[in-house]
Amino acid sequence: MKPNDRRRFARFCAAALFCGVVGAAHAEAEIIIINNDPAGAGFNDPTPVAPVGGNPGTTLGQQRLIAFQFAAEIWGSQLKSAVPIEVLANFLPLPCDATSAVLGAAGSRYIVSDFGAGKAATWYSAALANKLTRTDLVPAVPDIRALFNSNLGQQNCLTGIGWYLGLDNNPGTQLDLVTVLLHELAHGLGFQSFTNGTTGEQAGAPDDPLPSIFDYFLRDEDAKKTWPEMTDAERVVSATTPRNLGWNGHHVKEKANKVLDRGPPDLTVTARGFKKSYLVGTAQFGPPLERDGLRAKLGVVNNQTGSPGNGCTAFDTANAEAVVNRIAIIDRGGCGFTVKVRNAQDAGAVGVIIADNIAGSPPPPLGGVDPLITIPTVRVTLDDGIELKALVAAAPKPNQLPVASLSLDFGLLIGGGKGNRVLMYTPNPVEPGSSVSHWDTLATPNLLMEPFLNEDLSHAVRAPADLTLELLKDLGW
Amino acid sequence: MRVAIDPETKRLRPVEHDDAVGAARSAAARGALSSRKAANVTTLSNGVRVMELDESFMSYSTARVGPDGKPDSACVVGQDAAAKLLREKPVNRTASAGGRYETE
Repeated sequence: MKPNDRRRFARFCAAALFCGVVGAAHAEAEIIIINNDPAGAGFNDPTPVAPVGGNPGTTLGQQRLIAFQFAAEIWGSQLKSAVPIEVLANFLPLPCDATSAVLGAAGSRYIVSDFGAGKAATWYSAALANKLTRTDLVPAVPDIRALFNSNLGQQNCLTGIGWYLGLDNNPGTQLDLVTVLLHELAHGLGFQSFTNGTTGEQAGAPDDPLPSIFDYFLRDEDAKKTWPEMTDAERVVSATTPRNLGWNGHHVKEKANKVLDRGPPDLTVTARGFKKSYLVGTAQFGPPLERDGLRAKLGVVNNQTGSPGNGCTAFDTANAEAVVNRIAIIDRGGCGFTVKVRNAQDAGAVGVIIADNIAGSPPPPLGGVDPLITIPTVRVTLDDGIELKALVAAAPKPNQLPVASLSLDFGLLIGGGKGNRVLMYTPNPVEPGSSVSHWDTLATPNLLMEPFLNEDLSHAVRAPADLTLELLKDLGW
Repeated sequence: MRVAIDPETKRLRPVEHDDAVGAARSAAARGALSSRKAANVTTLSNGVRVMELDESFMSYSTARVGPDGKPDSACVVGQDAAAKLLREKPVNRTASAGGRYETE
């Protein structure tokens, strides 16, 4: 901490009731957690607790602060900045009920452009702008705001599922606070577009619309443009075209193949004068797809009288004839996926394509357990299912039915697009707040900055386990 | 140039000696999840532009308990998006590579 900052912070601490300060001994960047809670609450909660998972705190408040410090130290040890990063933090009641809760929230307190460093006419998060100018540009305001739910796990607040305050990433059935903090702090450090993914409007609109530095690395494969090169309308399309928006920063591209596995699933269908690849969701059950894959003609399963849904009961003669030695197309709905696939398998199908019954893309994976299933299964979107069924219906003869190939594409990373550009999360319909500012959920292994917090995450933030740090480096960290 | 955002007027002004105290008090007084929507961009005489961000730019981690009793957590940006996510009917799904598993 610079002398002036130290004096300023000392004044702040004198005015606030309690303060917690973090500065890792070997940190490249100092991250200061400003404890903004009143006496007896939040970080100052005096409830006695037993040490847990390497967290030596003996009160609830201490353990919360130590977990915050731990996450801050992880980031502080990876980033470089001459300007301390200030995080104004509270542990306080946030909206929740017995089965749902806001766990916490974090973000940059302000963004800055045209500050004499970096790219002109471009929004930067506060902490990054400070780093680039080596100056605290708005010294009176902390750079990042962080709020976390103090009631979690109590009655009527995600009852029974509380914070795991250990530091060893062993949360069991609880929620790992350090993982959530690492994710949310990364957003506060700049892992975020400030452009609205729903409207395409840039931050500061209508009077001062400017792109975010994040946007310069968003490259739309179809349009062959980056986000700043697009109109608002084009950005809306880009934000809702699944698996078409890649991260074009060299740090991420350089390390992506050390982090992500190869071989995303691929469904390619050929018919007379027709060849097309489709996005698919893979199945939790049955054999995994293979490099060489399965190649067979398509057959469509029709509804049967008395069945609660397409493919939900043993196939009648017509359906069995339609799918024997073929890849069966079955509509979603009425029963579990495994029921449909078992019925198709029993009728002689060699594979199954589940056609979604709800609009949306990309198609999510298929869940379920049935160890007796021996044929591969994928899911396609509602629109693609309609298209595939129309192709089958248009075939003039059985030997001219469209042919499907289910395989793995080892030319791509799982979660990567062309040129090792890691894909951003761009579902259709748009998921406000989730889209664009996260990695695509296809990424394998799972990454810290996917929109869903996966159970298998470690506390790693950089290659070879993760790509968050690499993206921040692309931004200028 | 070092500037401060006045915690009451939200306008930029020169740094004063008690800015840190004022900012903290104001933040506490506003409440954790107050809602402000208007963009607040100020251009300084030297061309530096500063935009204070409201809760619509904050990232929210949320969780819902699915039918299997496990928490299903997700991150969204903006208080409204978080509230919408919590209103949605939970489905039986688990974390996986490629998204969430649904079983039917």
